[in-house]
Amino acid sequence: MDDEILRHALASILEQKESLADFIATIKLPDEDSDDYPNRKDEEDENEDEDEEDAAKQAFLEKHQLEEITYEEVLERMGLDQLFDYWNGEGDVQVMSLDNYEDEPSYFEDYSRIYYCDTDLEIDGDLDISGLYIDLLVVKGNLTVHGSVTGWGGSGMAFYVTGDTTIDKLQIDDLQTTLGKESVRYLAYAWADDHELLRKTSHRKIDAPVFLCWFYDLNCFEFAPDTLITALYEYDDLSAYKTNNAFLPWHDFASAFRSDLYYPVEKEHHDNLNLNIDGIYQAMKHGQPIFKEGVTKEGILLVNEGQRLLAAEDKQGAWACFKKAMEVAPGYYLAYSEGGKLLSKEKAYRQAMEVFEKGIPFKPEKLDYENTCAEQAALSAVRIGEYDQAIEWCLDVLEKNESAYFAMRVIGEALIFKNELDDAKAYLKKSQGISSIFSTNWLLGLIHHVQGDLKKAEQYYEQAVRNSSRAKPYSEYIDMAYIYGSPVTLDWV
Amino acid sequence: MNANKLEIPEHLHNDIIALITYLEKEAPKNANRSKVSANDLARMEATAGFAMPPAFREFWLKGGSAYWEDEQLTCLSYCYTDYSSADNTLYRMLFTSLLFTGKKSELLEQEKGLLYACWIVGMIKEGDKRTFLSVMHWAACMLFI
Repeated sequence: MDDEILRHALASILEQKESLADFIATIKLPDEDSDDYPNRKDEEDENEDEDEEDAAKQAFLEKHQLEEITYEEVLERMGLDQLFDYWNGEGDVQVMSLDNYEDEPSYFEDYSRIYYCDTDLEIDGDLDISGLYIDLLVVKGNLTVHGSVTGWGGSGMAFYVTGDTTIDKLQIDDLQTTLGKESVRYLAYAWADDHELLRKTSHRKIDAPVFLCWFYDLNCFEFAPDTLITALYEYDDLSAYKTNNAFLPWHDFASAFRSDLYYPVEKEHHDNLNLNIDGIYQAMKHGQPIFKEGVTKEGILLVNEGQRLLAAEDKQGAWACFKKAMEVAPGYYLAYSEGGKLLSKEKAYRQAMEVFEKGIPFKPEKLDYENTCAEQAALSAVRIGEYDQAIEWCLDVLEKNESAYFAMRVIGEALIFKNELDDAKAYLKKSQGISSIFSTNWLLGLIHHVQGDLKKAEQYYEQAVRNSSRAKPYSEYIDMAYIYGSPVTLDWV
Repeated sequence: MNANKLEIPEHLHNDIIALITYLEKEAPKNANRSKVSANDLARMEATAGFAMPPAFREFWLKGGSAYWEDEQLTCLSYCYTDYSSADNTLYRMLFTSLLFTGKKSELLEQEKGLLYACWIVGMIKEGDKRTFLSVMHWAACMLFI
């Protein structure tokens, strides 16, 4: 490879060199002799870095009276036989990386960077000191960290504290014991390595304003009443979890959190908890809101309560909660979508439409698949004959999400009522191509039936029957009133 | 994907995310994929010395890091993960390549500053031809060798 070939290969980058001049000027480059690169330069730098690190480390250890000792010395000073219960064989907690060790001593033989503090320990900042690697921190007293502590599983540390522990941001993990009270000032989170398995940990009390949980079983935790829980793992397991705390399961966080504090979610079944953990922590630490404007914890609690009452068939009680949530948290999307769904199920389509419509502006910006309020407002509008309004809402949805099949299906039905059958057919066919649901197939069959193509009508009808046993033949019904019923007005709304 | 037929559409030359997405559609089912966390990104940015473009952040957090190969084509969509955190600037890559071949390049040293600022986020290897995908602070370029 000579310079000409290289120049050709680099052409696209070199073209930009001029415009990047300021940026390049800010880079401080080493001036090593390239013959010896990278070893000589790296070694020199590393030596300098190590010296600096050593100095910082020593200063930190001295300032906080931390002493590096052996595992055996810890046990002797604490007068204990062991520190953690993990290897006792009790409970059903299993952590593969811990199970590689048959007992606690053999674990700490490998993880032997153990630091001991014989008194209260208060650290101003994150427990992340350059050059200081702590496998286990033992504090005979209270531990206070005005910063972040990562669990050993996240390349942080284990800790054993005889007094109280107070930490600004804590990654919950095994091998973290506080004999007194453990509290987190801003944010605690439990994050599994992957989504293959629901992780369990030994019973833990969580006293933190916000708790984030990804593929950790919530049943392992006992929460302080004020803790807001955001969690995502297997939908069925998660749905079975009951709590009186403010609770944002699955992707509900997107309706509550500021949009800069989470990342986009494309599909409903995606099981990433796309939260910007550090962003949430920093916002809390600096006294900034973490919720969207118009969202409050009270509103979240009210929607949670409404959902509980609805599951217990108390519709009026549930509606009262959703309605109150709209008042105290007017920017909380779920108050409208849940309230609207309740009214729609009661066939109060005009009232449902009005509620859904109010929710449309609060759609979570980065929840790509979410269109409940707009699509259901449109569906309700079709039920009460407001076809143009229904189409308008659905076109708004399609403008942002061209694969929103339900919006296409609603437009299709509205166009049937407007007797624009060919256009209706086009929307319904496109919708069916994306998702072949019952109502789309039935409506497609209806169009063919009306247009006299009975063979195709029959084909779509059969598909609709396969989708749902509720399908009725076109000889009996020429609209979907047999599914949606006649609109009513509820006097308790 | 047949390497002989690999022709990267012109409009993808300056859109790395679209290019990787385009290639991923053709990826074999057994492609190796690794999750990328916000922490992984933060570590990578600390090493690179600049914040990755938001679009890339979202791309990695959504799709992770990926590696796949078939008989003729190898593709890598690279970001730090729990298991992988290699320094990867164009300068280092080219320097190492030259080191192996025992050659020197004046141009490489001359443009060291620029090439240090290019962080490699992907690679396509097709026969002897390697295409490196790299990002700079606010620009994205492709390099054909």
